[in-house]
Amino acid sequence: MVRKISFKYGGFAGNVLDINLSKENFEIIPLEPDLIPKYLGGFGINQILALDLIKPHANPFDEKTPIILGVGACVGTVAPGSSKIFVTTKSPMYRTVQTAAGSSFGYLLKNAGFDHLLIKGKAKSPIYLKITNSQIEFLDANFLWGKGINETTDKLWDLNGKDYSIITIGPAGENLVKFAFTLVDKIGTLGKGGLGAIMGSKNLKAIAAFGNKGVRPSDPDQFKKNANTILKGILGYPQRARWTEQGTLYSWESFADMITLPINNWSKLYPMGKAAKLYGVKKYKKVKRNPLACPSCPIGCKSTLEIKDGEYEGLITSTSSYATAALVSTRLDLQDHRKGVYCIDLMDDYGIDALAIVGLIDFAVDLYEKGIINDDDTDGEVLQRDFKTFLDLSKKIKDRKGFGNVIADGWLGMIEQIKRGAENYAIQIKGGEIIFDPRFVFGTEAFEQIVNPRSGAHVVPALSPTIVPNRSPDKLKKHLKRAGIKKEVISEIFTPEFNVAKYTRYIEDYYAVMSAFGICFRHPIAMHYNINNLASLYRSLTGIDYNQEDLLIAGERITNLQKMLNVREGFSKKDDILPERIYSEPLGEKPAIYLMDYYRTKKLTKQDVMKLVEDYYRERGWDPSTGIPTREKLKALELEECLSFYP
Amino acid sequence: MKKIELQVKKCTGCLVCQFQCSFQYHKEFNPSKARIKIEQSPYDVRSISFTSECTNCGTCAQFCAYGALQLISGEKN
Repeated sequence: MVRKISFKYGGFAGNVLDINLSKENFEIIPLEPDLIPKYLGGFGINQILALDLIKPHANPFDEKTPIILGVGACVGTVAPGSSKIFVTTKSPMYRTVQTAAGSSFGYLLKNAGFDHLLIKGKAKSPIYLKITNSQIEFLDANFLWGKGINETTDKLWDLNGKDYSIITIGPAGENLVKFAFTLVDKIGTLGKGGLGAIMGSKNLKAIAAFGNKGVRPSDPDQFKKNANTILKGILGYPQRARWTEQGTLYSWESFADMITLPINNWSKLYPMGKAAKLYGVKKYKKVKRNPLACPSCPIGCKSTLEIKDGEYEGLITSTSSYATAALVSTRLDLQDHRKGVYCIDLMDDYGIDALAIVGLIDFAVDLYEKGIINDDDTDGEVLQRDFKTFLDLSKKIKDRKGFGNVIADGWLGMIEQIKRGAENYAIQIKGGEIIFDPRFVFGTEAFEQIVNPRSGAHVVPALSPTIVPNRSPDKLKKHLKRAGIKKEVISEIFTPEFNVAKYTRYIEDYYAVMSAFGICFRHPIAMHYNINNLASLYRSLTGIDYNQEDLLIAGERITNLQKMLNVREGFSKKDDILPERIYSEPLGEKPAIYLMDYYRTKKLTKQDVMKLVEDYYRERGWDPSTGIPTREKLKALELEECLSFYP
Repeated sequence: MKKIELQVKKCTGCLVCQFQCSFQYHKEFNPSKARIKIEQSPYDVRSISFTSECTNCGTCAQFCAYGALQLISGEKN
């Protein structure tokens, strides 16, 4: 349980709100201060709470299995881009203990007086939770059950005022679709590993929060000075205006121009340049109404979209990423960006992650085309890679009707129910779709999908310049230096040749620190942070005299604890594997793109990748034969709690 | 005298103006205590206004990253 001791650090509210939906009661528990220097905040503290509160092998839908929400240490301040919240659950989709990231909500929860929110139990009938400072209300939500996220959120704003930030589920969550997510304020996606379904299983339609207690750093003037120095860097960044204008499309279009995008269940490539032309920046400008920003963000990469002509004229929606509409349009070959916008708005309303569902439907169509499934499986529906199939199937998935009921169980559920070798065609890792195709570029982002304990779908990613092919070693070294990696370690990463596994190991810990702080990873934000200004920020915020090394040790501790939560679930080296097709099949035909090392000097075999995975384990001080942290490593990181269940 | 010129359409709802204003006068980050009020609709910012306590100090405008608030000479809007 959460340990009860009084509180002392700046920037934190100092309390955990412990909700019991079954009894409709709550307890306000002081956050144990010792957790803060050890796990830094938000994402980090979530992991130790999960160790205490999520029982081994818990059923995600068991009412005793909690939802653990944490607010980043810097959230609610002017540290640029510091708005992240993290939700740790047992994922019904991935079956891992995993943490999802979102934005907004957190600054109001902290202003209400809470750094963490624990939600246990199950309400007798649909309710929504209303948090107004320390006033906690369990309010009837029967009138909202069955409604989409858009209508639900609007109704709750009408009832309570727009000052509240609201996390809402849609019908997919109510129907326990295993990849049902939530939206924060109708815009910020949160929990595609099935947070929506877990809330649904608890009869919890929404959580609304408002507070006005304020956030006070330990050394306010120094903190503001530190934050403003970082802000100045961002405001002076020459590409900032382009980011505000293009949002996530900024990087997406460069991918589309460079090689184009995987389609047809990761087997073919969309014709070169076609995606950029049909769905790219020019089309974005046609539907973009205004930019939106998360709290404290000087980039504003989110937006409100409005379709001004055609079949969907008059549709207004907000999105955290128009690039998702562009990707959906590409995967479904919609030929019309407005259809892509319609799709993401509809999926948002259902409470389903658009990319996850597109990947799963694409997989189902591939199985159908290959004759692995047929009309008997699909209730007579002919599956095609088109708009109609997508709309029909997504509705069935949301309602868990017919074949939709199978897809609603996600990658692992589909594989288990269909059998017939379906797993050979599934491009997934630990139940999550991949985001970065390693055949296109085998950088840290692609590699990290293999070893991330959560699943292939990333949340605390190993972002680096290797997201783009063939970046110079100097550029990579500069990035590592910024992350506080020692000179001799950097040298080792490049000796005798560049090793993507070793690179990944070090920057994961750096991003664990960023996550504990609640700072966004999007490039124009992240590039202006470094381990030194993070340490200065943390010192002035909390009063804890930490230097860069202290932060990175805490980051390593968080990463290892996240790993051990899943070792306890039975995960090990056997699960850290790429789908077989990534080795055996090229991406596309002309050109045929094979899995190669980052600098594309040689093709990689399964054995080569396994060797890299073992390099990663060794560099982490984990046993290369099992992929599990050694006892010595756990003791060195003061994670003795994990020894009690060491396999 | 300085005034703060508003371009509501440029406001992204980042709330930095409120964080900075509340810090200036209360040494804490607390949008509720800010002397600038941002009224949001579900899809954009509907209006920007100031409380009677506002002194036109310009802190909010100084930190507005989007050009929604600009400090210029003259009376406040």
